Amino acid sequence: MKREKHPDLKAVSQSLGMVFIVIGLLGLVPLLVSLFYNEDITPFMAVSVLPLAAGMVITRFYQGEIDLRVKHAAIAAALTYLIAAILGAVPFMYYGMGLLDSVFEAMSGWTTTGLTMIADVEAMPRSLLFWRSFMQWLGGVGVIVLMLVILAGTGSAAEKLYQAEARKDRIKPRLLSTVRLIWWIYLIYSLAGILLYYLAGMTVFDAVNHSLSMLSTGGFSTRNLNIESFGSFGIELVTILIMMLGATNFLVHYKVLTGRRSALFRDLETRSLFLITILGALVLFLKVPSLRASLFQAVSAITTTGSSSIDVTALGEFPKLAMSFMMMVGANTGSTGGGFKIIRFIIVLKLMAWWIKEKLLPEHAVITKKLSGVELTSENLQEPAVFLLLYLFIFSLGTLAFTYMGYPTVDAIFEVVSAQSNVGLSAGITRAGLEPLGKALLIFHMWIGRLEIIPVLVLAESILRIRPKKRPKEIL
Amino acid sequence: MNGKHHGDLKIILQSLGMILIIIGVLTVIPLLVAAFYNEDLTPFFFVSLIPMVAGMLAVRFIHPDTEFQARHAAIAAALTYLIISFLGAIPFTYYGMGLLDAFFEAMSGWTTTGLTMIADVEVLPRSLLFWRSFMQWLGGVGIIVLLLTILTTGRAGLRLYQAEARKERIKPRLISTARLIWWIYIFYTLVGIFLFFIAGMSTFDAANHSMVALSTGGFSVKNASLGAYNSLEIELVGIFLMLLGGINFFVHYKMLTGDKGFILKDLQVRAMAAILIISTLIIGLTSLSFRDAFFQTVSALTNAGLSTASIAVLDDFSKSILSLLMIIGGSAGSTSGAIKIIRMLIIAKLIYWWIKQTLLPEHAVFSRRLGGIEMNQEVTHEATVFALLYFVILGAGALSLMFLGYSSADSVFEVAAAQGNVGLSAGITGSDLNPFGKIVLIFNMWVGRLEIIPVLVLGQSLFGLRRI
Repeated sequence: MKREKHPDLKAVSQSLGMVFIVIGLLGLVPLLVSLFYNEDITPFMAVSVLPLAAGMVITRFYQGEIDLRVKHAAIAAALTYLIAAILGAVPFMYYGMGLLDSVFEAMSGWTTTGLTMIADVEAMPRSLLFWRSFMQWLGGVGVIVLMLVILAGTGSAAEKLYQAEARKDRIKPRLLSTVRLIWWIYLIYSLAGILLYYLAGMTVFDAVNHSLSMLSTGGFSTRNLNIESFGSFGIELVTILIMMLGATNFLVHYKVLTGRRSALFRDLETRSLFLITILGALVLFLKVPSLRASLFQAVSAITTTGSSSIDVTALGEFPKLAMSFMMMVGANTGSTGGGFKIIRFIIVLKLMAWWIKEKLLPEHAVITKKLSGVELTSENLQEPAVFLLLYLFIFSLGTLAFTYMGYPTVDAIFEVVSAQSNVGLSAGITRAGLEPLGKALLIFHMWIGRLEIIPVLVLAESILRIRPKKRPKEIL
Repeated sequence: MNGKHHGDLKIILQSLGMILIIIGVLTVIPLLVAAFYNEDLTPFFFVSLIPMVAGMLAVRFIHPDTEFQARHAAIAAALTYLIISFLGAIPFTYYGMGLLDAFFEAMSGWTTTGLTMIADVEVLPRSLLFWRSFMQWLGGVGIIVLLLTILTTGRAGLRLYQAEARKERIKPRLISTARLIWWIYIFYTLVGIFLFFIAGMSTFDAANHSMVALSTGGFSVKNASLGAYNSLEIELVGIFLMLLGGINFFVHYKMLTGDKGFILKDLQVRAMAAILIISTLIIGLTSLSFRDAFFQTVSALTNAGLSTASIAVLDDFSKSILSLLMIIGGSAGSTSGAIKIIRMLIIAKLIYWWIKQTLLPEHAVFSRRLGGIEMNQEVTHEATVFALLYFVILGAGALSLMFLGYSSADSVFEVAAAQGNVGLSAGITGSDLNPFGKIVLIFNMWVGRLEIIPVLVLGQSLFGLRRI
């Protein structure tokens, strides 16, 4: 009887059941790692067995064909990251962290942010460190994409879920082939990263962890001082390469790997990524003494990775603001990076340029609105502009809250952008001693940023039923 | 240069000529004030004579043969504010200020900003103080509206009118609209003088403050602005006048012609009331007294810039709230600047529609209305693009000040105050500011007053940036 009454609940639950199963299956990997290092396997048993069991029960209970609408996909995506964050928190709690701190750490992991509540990571067991990196690695390509690969989801339901997790591009005509391909590319790069780090002088454990967290543009490190602790130019160069790989659209990777080398420079978004990185590094170099550090931090910010080779908290206001801007712009669409995304940024710039051009030309002159040879419809144009304003609005609310708590504006801006764009650089606000409200806010920003806002709003609406029954009356 | 360019140049020069004549004629008023107070007439004599002669020469000898286009109007509007700022700077340089400072002061005047380079205004001659207020008063309704009141115009008039960031028409004929705006404006100014006088100001102070409050300019004849009087009545009159200035003149027209209830129906007025109540509560509960909090929020939102409390000592949180208000600004069709409430409402609606679209079944269609009016793509597009452009220019300005070493809260505040033509200061503006910083603020005031586009058109025609 419940099933007929609540088609929404059924559709959402079915998708969530599958998410549980996938997380449970993947939880087996850290379980093996803890076995290998002879560490306590209890927490990872919990992370794998619990969701597996829950997932099995749910999918049994909610069986059959469902009519998954965009709305359901959005709610499922929003809930997925909440559930993943709570499950991911279990090992941290097992090792003695508080609930809020643990959820923060796990949300920071799954959303590939990289802000951390742990002051001394070097004292942590290896299996726990691996769990952090592993969450970021999975989160980089997306939990839902992963689900589609493993459970071979296809059809329009899969399509909607795929899009709800902030993805749009397809490399192959079939969705399943696309997600499989993304994962193959991702695996190859991860292995290449491990090899390169090893050659540059890291231990195997460090190499694995950093390759996972940097390629996913996450930024968790096994060292307290992140990349800075190695003090090696070689490792910094490898990191820069891996971060850039992570921030590039996987469609471009596919083309390059299948022999079309020129695709790298023909793609507008990738070219812009390089351009912004170089400009950003030069701008930082105005106030940061070393060009090497400027380049590293510019790459880390624009790719939304959040690793650091210098002490970012000690920087002045100007470089912090410049980095905030880069973090806001973010990486390519269809990459593992977060932020507003370069292509949207380009469209918004074009939008302004066209608007100005229209004002300059004689009345009623028509201009063609093309980007990379593709004509843009008014819908294509409106979406990035509205999204940007919404992004700025949510960002401003968070920043105001932190200035209210007494933090300097520049740090508040930096920290909120870093969370919302899933970067993970910190101006010093994120720490275990932060007020619970501040932690909750940053968790919220990481969550809403990873999902590109809309799914969270849809979820909020369906919980609160804020949709008005009829149009509110308005008079001029 | 080909013939077409000559045509463009001629027609722009001709309209500039007309504007200069008007400025020259109106400067007779500060000249009279100087004569009345027995002060030096020389500076105002120059300000009156130079534009009159130049304007007459331009109008007499230039006979344009091209049609007046939107482009010409935009360039003329952008140039107007540059030229009159040079003219307006003359009295200040005469009394010993440096050229850049004097130019800053005049730009701040004409654009109704109210940021000032003068640390001690109370020692200045009265005629100079009056000149500051007078520039703001004229700038409030717009120099070009002024031109239209006096001259009869056709298409050219409409173009200029729009180029100066005005769109609405109260009466079908443009010239009637402009005249009506001026009559309402003069009426309110006189009411303001009277009210300030009743509340205890001297006649001179009352006249100056009425002009700067109504025009949402914010220059004061006191160093501590309205805070100097420490009188609740004076503050209330100030709030009343700033609100009048921040409300669309169409609403004033309806009110004055008998439709008393109209003010409550206007979307922008209602939104303004809501914003003011919320932000007064926030600031009142966190830093300032409710009395000061209300005054400062009104001053920030209407873009007036008068103050009763020192902004420089506020914490970052209150500064950020005020910065937001300054970025939002007053009603469209009022004397205030910034993005304007109506654009903000459109953007809020757009976001709401976007979410609604996601919630509804695919391909569902619903009507997109604001205030009962169907919003078309062009209107929503304009609002979003304008807001984004506004943020880009604001961000560039704030980064420049930060580059000079100011804190981000202060930099954003100061640039928001300049670009929204507000004039509250977090303490960056002063004669000891780095010349680069002064130029940045002058630019932001100029761009903000003209609502960006005319400046871009001017830039385009100067540098020949044909390809966008």
